[in-house]
Amino acid sequence: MIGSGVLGAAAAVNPGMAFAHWGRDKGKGRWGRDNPQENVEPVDWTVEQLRTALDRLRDDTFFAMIAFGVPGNDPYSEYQGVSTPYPGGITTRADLYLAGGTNLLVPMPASYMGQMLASIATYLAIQPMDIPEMAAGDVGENGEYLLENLNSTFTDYLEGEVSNSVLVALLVNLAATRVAGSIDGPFPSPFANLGWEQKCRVFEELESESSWLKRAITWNIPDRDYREATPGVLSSMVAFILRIAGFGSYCEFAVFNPETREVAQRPLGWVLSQYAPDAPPSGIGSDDFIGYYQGRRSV
Amino acid sequence: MRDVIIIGAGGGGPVVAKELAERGLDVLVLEAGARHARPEQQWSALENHMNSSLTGKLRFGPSDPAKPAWFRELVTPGSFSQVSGVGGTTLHYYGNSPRAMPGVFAGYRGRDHGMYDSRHKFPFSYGEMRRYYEWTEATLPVQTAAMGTKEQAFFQAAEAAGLSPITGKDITHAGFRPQENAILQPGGNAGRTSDPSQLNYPDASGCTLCGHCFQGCMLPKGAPRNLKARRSTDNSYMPMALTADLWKPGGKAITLISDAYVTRILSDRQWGRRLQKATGVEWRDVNTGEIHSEDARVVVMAGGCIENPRLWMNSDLPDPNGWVGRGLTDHALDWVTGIFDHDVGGARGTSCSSRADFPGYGAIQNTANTPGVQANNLTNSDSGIRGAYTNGIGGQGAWDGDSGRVYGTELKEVMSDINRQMSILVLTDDDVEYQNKVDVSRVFRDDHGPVARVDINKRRRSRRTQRNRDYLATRAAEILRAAGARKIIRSDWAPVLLHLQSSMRMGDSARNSVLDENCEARAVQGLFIADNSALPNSLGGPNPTLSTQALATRTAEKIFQQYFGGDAWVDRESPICSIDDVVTQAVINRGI
Repeated sequence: MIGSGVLGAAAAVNPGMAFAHWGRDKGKGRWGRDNPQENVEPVDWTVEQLRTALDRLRDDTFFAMIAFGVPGNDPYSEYQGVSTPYPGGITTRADLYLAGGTNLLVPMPASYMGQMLASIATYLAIQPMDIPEMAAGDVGENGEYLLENLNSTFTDYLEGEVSNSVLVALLVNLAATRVAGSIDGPFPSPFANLGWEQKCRVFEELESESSWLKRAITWNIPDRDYREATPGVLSSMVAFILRIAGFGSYCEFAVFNPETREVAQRPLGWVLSQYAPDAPPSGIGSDDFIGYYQGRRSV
Repeated sequence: MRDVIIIGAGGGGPVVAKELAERGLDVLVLEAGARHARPEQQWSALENHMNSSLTGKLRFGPSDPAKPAWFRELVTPGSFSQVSGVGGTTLHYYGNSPRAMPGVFAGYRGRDHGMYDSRHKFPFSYGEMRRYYEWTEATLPVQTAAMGTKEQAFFQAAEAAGLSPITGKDITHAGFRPQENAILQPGGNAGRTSDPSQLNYPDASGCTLCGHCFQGCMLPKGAPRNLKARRSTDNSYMPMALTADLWKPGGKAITLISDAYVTRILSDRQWGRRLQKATGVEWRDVNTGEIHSEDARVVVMAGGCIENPRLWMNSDLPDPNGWVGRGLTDHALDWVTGIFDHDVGGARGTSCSSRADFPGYGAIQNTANTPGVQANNLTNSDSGIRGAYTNGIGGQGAWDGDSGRVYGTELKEVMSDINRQMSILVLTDDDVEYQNKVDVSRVFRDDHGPVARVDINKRRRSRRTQRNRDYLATRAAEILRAAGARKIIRSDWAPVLLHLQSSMRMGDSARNSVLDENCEARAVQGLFIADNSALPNSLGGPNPTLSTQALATRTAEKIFQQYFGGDAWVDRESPICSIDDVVTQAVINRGI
């Protein structure tokens, strides 16, 4: 379950203890204030549990993101207070499309990823995510503890193997926590527990040219070149997840058969938009030809 | 040693290749992306399969789908919409082939001459350009677009909005018209049926009105490659270049190598007006990683507005006036959508066959959209989410409510019937501005060196650019209203980097241009540029491909005259059309 090398060594000396200890010291020394979680009893945890917790937070966040963009009749849409009586993007699993695309969007060098995550986690240590009790079981063993106690050292345990989608999920949930504070609800992701209007506030903060959060994350990155690139990278990722929720929900991705290069069945997005009612197969022509404007075939 | 090496087989490179192959020169074309030799066996009409910028067939990336797309760094919000491979970005273009506004050329004396970017004009006259337009239009060929449901609705609305038709190829006044498209008009059963059994070549010829230009044109099924409907360069100029020996006496077929990423332009220092002389190129085999190099008397860059500056800088070529990569224009694209209570054919018929031009401001055009692309277009904005936040902009005007991203239940409502939408793309006559630039990243690099970094900040565009964009969005909304739209939405797009121009611009002044009046680099002898980056400005708004191809034809003449002692031909000969029987026979004989 636990790997070898540095990671194994870290786990062998009780990473949970080290994690909590570093959090206290760094929190005090760097920020001049107590880590809000410092009174939490340290627990033993494994790197695998940390990865599971992050992945499940990511999955939950991306479900909520799709429900935000293309709501349907799913629990995420209903909880945000904006739903429709028929399916939305979640039914097409556009969340998978969104997460996969985010991972491919920017080829983050490992050292840059490490600094970016450390910067985000620094602010999560100041204002931690609050994982609702009723959803604690959804983030795996010790997941609630780990997600609520993330600080700038957590990436040390991941050996640079962190996906963009996890980074984006942490960013969105950090913003959600800043916008709404402690958020109760049925989902582990703070963002997923927001109402639709509150989700808008999250992206208002993340999209703004004067976003305090984006500036703070940028300022906290030590390497100058990485720091200069950060506003553009963050903006690209935020714009991407806002935009691709729509594309992922309405394109054929969920029912594409690569063997035939055709859809296995009619994509939900085509049904929702009443596109190409006779497909599949995809049309190769239409009878829409009327003629030429004023009969002119050439000018 | 080759006579000429051309870097890039997109919209411009194949034009130079075909023209010089026709003259009998030894031409090597290097293309970083895929060959796309068998589209009927490789492509589909599906959006994600073809158009995903990360994994699609038509992406900016290597031909091997298992490898990631090639990354470019963006300094400010935006998205790329470019394609690598033989055909380049013409692989997903709509074939729109308008001429540029006459007002962006030297010597223009029209009453509206003060309406244009007067500091960055073409260094020669529109009259000179016209003969290259005519040659290119005859070669592709460019034809007047057919009319379907949405075009008819657009024309009627444009008339109702007080516009008059433009009836020539030159843009003489503000008005509307069918597109002049590099698309073969429908023949036989094409456009008359959706029955696939009746749409095979030769029962159907030309455009079948399938509405899938954006997914790449491989129709009619069974047609020889040069008779596919849309004249992207993979269907037009490249087949001609690869068979020049068969259809032109004295012609010599080019050599094409795909999956060949040029990483360096080789050059020697020299004394004289130009600081260096190009001697060849070095490229990397994208599949094997092997490095190759070859010498040439002339090198032509045609890798596009983003890759050309990157290659220049990674080759350590001189930039004495600081304009390499500067002055990037993008038509400041925007999107206006009308929602109707009746069917206006929003997703039917051709992809884009009607437009309106507004000299001094730019142009607008009506497009058909597949659902994923349309949802993507409606959710792209620099103005936040409609009704929720404006991101500091959210402008109001002739449209309904704030401009912005359509999201949540409004998106589902708008998308509930795609044929009840009419969308208009805004093409702004935007200014050449020094701060809009391409250079190289200090953070990101790939197998071919530091990647390009693009900085084009929509919010800091010139006052004229922003005024023009707002004007065009207003005119688009007026047309949609005249058409009977019950709701009109302006997206206020964040930059979509599709129509890119002028990052390596030609000009009449050595102070603000990289290329001279012949498109040869001022600082490097024997190095020419023949793609959109060579354009001196944004053409006044019209789509750039035809102008790039006409200019590339002119550049080919200059190369032939200056370096090979030949004569110009455009004034003395008649062009051979890419669908001429002699070309078709050559394409069939060569099996391409």
